[in-house]
Amino acid sequence: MFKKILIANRGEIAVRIIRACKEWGISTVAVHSDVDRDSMHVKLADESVCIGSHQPANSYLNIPALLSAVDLTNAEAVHPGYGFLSENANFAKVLEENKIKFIGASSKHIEMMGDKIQAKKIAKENGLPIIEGSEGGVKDIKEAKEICKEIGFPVLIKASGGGGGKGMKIVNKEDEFETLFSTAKSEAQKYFGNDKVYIEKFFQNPRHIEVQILAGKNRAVHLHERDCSVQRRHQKLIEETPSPVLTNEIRKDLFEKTVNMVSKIGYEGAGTVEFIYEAGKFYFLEMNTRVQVEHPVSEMVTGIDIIKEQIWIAFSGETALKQTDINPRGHAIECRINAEDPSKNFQPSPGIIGMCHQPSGFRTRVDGAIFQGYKVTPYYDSMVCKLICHGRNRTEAIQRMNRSLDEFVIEGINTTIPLHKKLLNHKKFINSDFNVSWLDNEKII
Amino acid sequence: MIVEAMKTMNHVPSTSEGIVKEILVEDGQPVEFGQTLIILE
Repeated sequence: MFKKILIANRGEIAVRIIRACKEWGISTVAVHSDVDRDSMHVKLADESVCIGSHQPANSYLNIPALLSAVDLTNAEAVHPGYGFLSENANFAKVLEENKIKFIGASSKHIEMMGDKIQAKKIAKENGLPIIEGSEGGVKDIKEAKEICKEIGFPVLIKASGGGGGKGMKIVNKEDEFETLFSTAKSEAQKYFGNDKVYIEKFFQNPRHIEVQILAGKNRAVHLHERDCSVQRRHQKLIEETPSPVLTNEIRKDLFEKTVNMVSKIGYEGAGTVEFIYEAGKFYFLEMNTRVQVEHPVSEMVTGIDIIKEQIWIAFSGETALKQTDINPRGHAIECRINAEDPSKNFQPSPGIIGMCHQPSGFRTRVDGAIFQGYKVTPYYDSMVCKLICHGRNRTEAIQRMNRSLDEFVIEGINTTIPLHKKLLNHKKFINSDFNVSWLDNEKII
Repeated sequence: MIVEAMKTMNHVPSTSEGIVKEILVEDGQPVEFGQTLIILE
């Protein structure tokens, strides 16, 4: 096994990875920016290295500084977590060239799936249903308009290099098209350095369903699905497994097609294949070649530690799991606790945390990196921790989540906790009668 | 004016009409709650 792993991330995911390493007796190296020196991940790791100033470009995205930290500490492998450099093919490649193991997909697969147009093409070639639209980037407004005529409005204009809900435009009517098309192109250029856009049919009431996979040279297995349809501004807020809307017949088809695609492209590591689901049909959206924020819900029902499996696959090249080992039990829900004020349109709420009491008890899990006196800075993502609850069924999972949210105390900053309390008791959530645009269309708090 | 916090770009609309008399911050400079950014006349 690896003797030492460097974690190229911060916050709750860095803590999560350090915990997995510790259980396996692997030494850990934390890296941090100047403002993060008192963070939880730095305190928990065996060693730590300051890699730059607060701006992500100078620290968590600073490849030369990270390489120096690897060299300085003799780490054998790097775990990138999610975000930052986790889907940066160049970073994976530099590590590969320097014989440092990148705990993630190969640079080839990151590149393959990083370009959304190319990913869609690969998915189609390997038997996954895709959303109707342009067969790649659209050349000009004339071609774009022809495609719209074919598939009908509303349509979605997406940036090829985009992600995280950025660089997307919904067009409802033909006369809005020209303006929004040029805005989408200029935004794509500004945010992603690439003005290539593509067009897809826009779904009005879709659910977001994704399949967790783990793959090695020997085989690929799936850890069932997650339903992440409670979103605000295209960012997930509550995730659960199993999905309350899938039938076993659809589930079987979805898993078979996903595992087949992942095996065919020779993918290795943990990954998630994301789908849109509407009116009994699923369509490939994209593949995330890394661990995801919401991975704990799958861990709770399967009993499998996804981070440890990632480390094992990176080390041995194979997965020790067989499909028959994966038998999910019960229902799990995750609520993302963000430093935001949900009553003020999710306005960011940095500050110093006062009193902090995190819930515990039977089948309750908190993945976080906060404590009393911790300063939530404005430089990074607003998610400060995640609350995950497991129950024998969905009803019990909701009851347990309600109980745990009631125990949660975070003073000094505003959080999404009050919103989650309302959502968990909302008729639409209880009846699973919602889609990805629910929170954008209805004022809950 | 746009204030970036936690990876989100927050649009700050003007509270009233007027002519910009002075801009008290520079592009990229960190700001705090309640800080005066622009003086309108």
